[in-house]
Amino acid sequence: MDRVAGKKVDPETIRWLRQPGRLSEPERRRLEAELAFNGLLDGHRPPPPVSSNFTAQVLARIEREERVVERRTPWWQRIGSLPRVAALAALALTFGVLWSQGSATRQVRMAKQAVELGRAASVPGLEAASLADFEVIRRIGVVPRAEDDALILALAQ
Amino acid sequence: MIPDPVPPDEDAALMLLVRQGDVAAFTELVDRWKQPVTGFVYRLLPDADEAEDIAQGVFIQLWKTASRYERQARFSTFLFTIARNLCLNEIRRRTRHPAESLDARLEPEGESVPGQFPDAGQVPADEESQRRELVTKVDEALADLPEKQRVALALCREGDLSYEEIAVVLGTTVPATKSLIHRAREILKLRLKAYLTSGAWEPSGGGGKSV
Repeated sequence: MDRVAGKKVDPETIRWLRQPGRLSEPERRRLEAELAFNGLLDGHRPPPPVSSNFTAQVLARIEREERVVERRTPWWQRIGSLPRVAALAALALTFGVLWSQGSATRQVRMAKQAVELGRAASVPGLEAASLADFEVIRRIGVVPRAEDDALILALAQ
Repeated sequence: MIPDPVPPDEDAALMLLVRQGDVAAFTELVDRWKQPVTGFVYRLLPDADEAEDIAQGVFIQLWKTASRYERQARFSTFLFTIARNLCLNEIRRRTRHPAESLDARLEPEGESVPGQFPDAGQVPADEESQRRELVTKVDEALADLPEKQRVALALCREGDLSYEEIAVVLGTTVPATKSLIHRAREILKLRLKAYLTSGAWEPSGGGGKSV
């Protein structure tokens, strides 16, 4: 009887229960009352038949929603994780190569400066103390000609 | 009302394919379950168009959350849990933002009930009006039930789930589920006693259909 009171029961079971002698009179009355109540619950508003294109509509809505989500997703999230890692690696490699090239250029420039400084230091009459003098430093690049050297020597005497 | 006597494992197997993005398996599941899901939604939100719209939403959600499906769970409990959540969201949304139904506004007193098709040629007018009144009373009585009782009753009558499965969907125990359904039925019987004793409602089918 509890099954009838809750869950749906197949017509066979109902027919079997309704057979004479199966239930006492109070039980039979309760059965009929429960069946009538089930009929009221199920039959007062029979569920509407679903439209024939129900499944197609579901698929179309999913497609529409996925397109909207795709449009809202930034490009770096749209690409898969493997391409994303590859792109980041390529970017890092490019950065590394550029940095290393820049570093080599800097080293070459420093070496050139060191050579020039060495050449300047070999200029006669140029002492370390005189490097402190801005004007002297400014003229380092200008290597005096031979006549000038003779003049300087003459003046020094 | 399960559409086909399909073993539950078959639905679970299809769902595992859906997890991998198999559209054909998804289509098969929608075809199998669209009627029970729409019926369940209609029991909680008695508007045919809206019920179908929400039922479609249930399947969309099913597609989106397929990755969370685990084989241990029976497919029907997974599906009806989604359906229950969407229906409760809609009911709560309506409670927060109550709006008059367009049908109710357009329908003059005594006209046909939304979702019902008048068949005046076969049913006498006074019987028809009595029937309409009964439908309204049952709807009101159902709407006044506590949320969990309504859902339990709908799952029991429309989803055709076992008490164990209903308990899973509701997130409660089997004894608590039985108690919810029993209490819901008792409350409804009390409110509709007048109709049940007067015999105003004659169940159609005469025991021929599953009740």
